[in-house]
This record gives sequence, structure tokens and C-alpha cells, in this order.
Amino acid sequence: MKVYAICGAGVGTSTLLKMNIEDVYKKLNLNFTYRIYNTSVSLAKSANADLIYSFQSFEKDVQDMSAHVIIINNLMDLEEIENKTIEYLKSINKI
Amino acid sequence: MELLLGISNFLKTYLFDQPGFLIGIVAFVGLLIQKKGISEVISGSVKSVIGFLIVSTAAGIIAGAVFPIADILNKIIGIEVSTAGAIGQEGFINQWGSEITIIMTGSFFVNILIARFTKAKFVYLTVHQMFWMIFVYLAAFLEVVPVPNIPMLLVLGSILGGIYFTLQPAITQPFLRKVTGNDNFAYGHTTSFGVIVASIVGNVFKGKKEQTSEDIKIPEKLSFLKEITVSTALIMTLLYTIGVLLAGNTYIVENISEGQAPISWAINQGLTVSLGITVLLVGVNMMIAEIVPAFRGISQKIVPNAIPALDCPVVFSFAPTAVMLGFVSTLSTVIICTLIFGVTGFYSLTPPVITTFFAGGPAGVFGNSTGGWRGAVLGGIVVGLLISFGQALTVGALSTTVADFARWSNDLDYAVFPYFFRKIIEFLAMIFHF
Repeated sequence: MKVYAICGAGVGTSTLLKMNIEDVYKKLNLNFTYRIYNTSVSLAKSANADLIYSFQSFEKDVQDMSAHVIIINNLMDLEEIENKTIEYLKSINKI
Repeated sequence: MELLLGISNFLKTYLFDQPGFLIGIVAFVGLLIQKKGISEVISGSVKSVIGFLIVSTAAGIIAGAVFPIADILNKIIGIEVSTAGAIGQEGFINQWGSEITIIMTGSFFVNILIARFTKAKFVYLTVHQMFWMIFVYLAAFLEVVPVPNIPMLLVLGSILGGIYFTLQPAITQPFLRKVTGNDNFAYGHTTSFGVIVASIVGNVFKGKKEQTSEDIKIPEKLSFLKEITVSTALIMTLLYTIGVLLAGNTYIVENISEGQAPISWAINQGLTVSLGITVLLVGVNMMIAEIVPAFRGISQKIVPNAIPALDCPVVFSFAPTAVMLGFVSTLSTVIICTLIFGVTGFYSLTPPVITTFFAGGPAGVFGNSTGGWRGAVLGGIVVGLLISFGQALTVGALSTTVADFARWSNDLDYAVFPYFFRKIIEFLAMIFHF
């Protein structure tokens, strides 16, 4: 599964979010292969992600991509990332 | 003794003097500390070096695209702008990249030490801004002391850097609290001076604070401005086209565009600035990708209860419309300043588009927190003024090093103060004869 953390410039906040997603995924001990990347809104379309984590400000920009979008309010809140991830993975029977 | 000298020389030639290698080493060590597998350690280290080289290359592209502005403005308003003899940002990154990397790492450790042993429990995680902050102030220092004692430089730089990376979030926190209402995270960004000022001036509209910007709807049609690649391309192309029209066809064809038709050349230049910045951002992404988790991992072990100081977009979601209001206010102010500065012959201002977004946006949010939408707009305007005058000051202060950087990136913490920093160093150099 191709997972992308998306922010405006693809530098600061998406790097931190990607870092936290990696920690959460490691903790969840998932039984499928995944790779987590981060990039900017501008480059997101060509990324062909399966799952996108982003922020409210970019919700409209990532909406019409084929990936499922999870919106995170506090990028340093591992619990929020974990809960929303589990909710999604359960809905597609990956967990 | 000879063996030591030999090793030291070997390290110097093949490690220290290779600009990107040191960042690879930092990433390498960081990945090892995180106990990553050998494949990831190699991959991550190599990518961070390539990222560094991309940044250096992109810096050259941006500098080349922004450089002709000086000549054009000279023709239009008769201001003499000399950048001859300067090292330039690309050269500076190649020459001093290793020192910058070491000071960056050193100041990170000073930061966590200060956080560990004082009440200022803030850890700065905006690694790319650490790079630019040290880049600018190292340049300002070298303007006065071109051949410094390197070990002293590294130690002093790390201490001063660590103090800034701890103090800046601490000073900003009371103002950030008015936006977020909590202390879950801090603001770790080089636009801090701007957002503090915006918060303060927002108080002018204290009585109308509840008329928040978030009750206003921004038309969807403007959302393309949020994309850096797009807004930079459009605005720089527009500026170049106007400049070319004012300077006159003959002048441009003969002196600037090497025979290319002026408008065609202007479009090319504007797009090239955007090209450079887009590539730069990709390079920065790669450069810091392995360093951020390493820094955070280490800080969590040493100062577990620290508040992370984060990149400026973390405030965007608190007032998204204020971000737009602030950005547009700052950009408009900077463009108006370009015209007024030019007409009065004061200074040839190059609008730093990327700064107008990352300073103006947060300024809008902070201004809105104290004065509603009017505070957001006023905050944006004041920040625009600080950026414009700041660029004029800083370009002069960095004339033999990285004045070209100061022409397209003017985050307030390194655009308002370098001139004064340089004056202090000149004063100290005079007293202590170094």
C-alpha cells in the first residue's frame, strides 16, 4: 500500500506527519506491505497514492484523487493518527 | 604525528570539503541510532546527500533567474546594484556546507541541553529552517571575519544557534496560545518575529476581535495561489514582463536577454524562478527526511516532556481564511513597496513570493487572534513592510556573501536582524581584534 503524507510545500509538516504515521504503523504490526512517503500538494496527483494523510487546509485539493483521504487535526497526536488509521483499515478489512 | 596529519588531511579532503557528505553522516548516525536496517541506513544516507546537492543546484538556478532584476531595475530607476565579487548562495553552500551542517547538529544538541536543564522546555523540529538560519548568520559573520578560527566558529555557532532555537519558540508561545488555546505544541519557524508583531498590532482592533476572518468566505477560484509553484510562476512572470516593458525592448535585447525577444525572455525568467524553488523544495524534503526523525527520537529520550516547536503551517487550520487574508495583504504590501521603493530610488526590491506566503499566512492567523479579520489584514501589511525594508537592509549586509539569497527569501528572523548582527560582530571584532 502506498501511503502519502501531504502538505503545502512537502517539506516541514508532511515530514513530521510521515514520521508519526511510521511510528503508528510500526506499533500496529500490520500484516501487509506498505511504504510511507511525503510530498507537496502540487506533486500529490502524480504520486498515485493508495492512502493519503493530510490537513484540513488541503482537504479540497486532495479530494478528487483516487486515494482515500484521512484528515489529521494535530500532526503530533499519535492517538488521533492511530484511531483514524484503525477505523479506515477496519473498513477495508486490512486489520 | 605524521599519521595523524595524514588522517586529518584525508578526512578534510574527502569528507569535510565535500559539501554534502557531512549531512550524509548525520543522517547515517541518526538512522543507526533509530536501529534501522542496513538497507535503509544506506538508502537514507545517500538520499540526504543527494538532497543537499539538489538544494545547492537549485540555489544556483534561482540566483541565476533572479540576478537580471538588478540590471533591469538599474535601467528603469537608475539604482546602482552591484553584486560583483560576491560568493553567491550556491558557492556559499558548497564552500561552507560542512560547517553549516556541524553547527546545525551542534545547535540541536545545545537546544536539547537547554530544554533539559531549564524551564524552556522547547525542542525545535523545523530542521530546514535551522539550515537557513545558520546559513544566513554564518554569512553575516563571515562578512566581518572572512577567515575565522574554524573550531571556535563551530562552537560559537552551535551555542548561539541552540539559544535561538530554544528561545524563539519560548518567546512566541504566549502569542501562539491566543491562537491555539493550549501548549500542545510551539511555533518553531523563522517568521516568528513577524507573527509576534502581527499579534501585537492586531490589538489595534481589539474591540472587534470577535469579527473573525473565519466568518468570511474566500472564493474557491483563488485557491491556486496556495500552490507555491503556481503563485511564484505567475507573480514572477508578471513582474518580469512589467520590468521588461518599462526598460524598453532595445535595452533588454542588447544587454539582458542575449538577443531573445523581451517578453519571451521575461516569461522564461519568471518560470525559471518557479522551477528553481520547486526543485529546491524537493531537495530540502530529501535532505531532512532522515534527520527529522533522528532529532525527534534523540530529543524524546533526553527531554521527554518537551514541547515540540513546529513548522508554521501548524497554525493554518486554526484560521484558514486568515491565512489567505494575511498572505494577500503581505503580497500586496510588498508589491506596492516595490513600486514606491523604485520610484523614489530607494532600493530595487525583489518580491520574495515564497516568504510572503509563509510569513503573511501565519501573520494573518496571529493578527486574527487579537483583532479579527481587520487584525489579520493589518498584521499582513505590517509584515509586508518588515519584509520589504528587511530585504533592503539584509542585501546590503550580505554584499560579499549571499545577497542573492536575500533577494528571494526574507523570513523575518533572518531578514530583519542580520544587519544589526553584523554591526555587533564588527564592534566586537574591533574591540577584541579578531
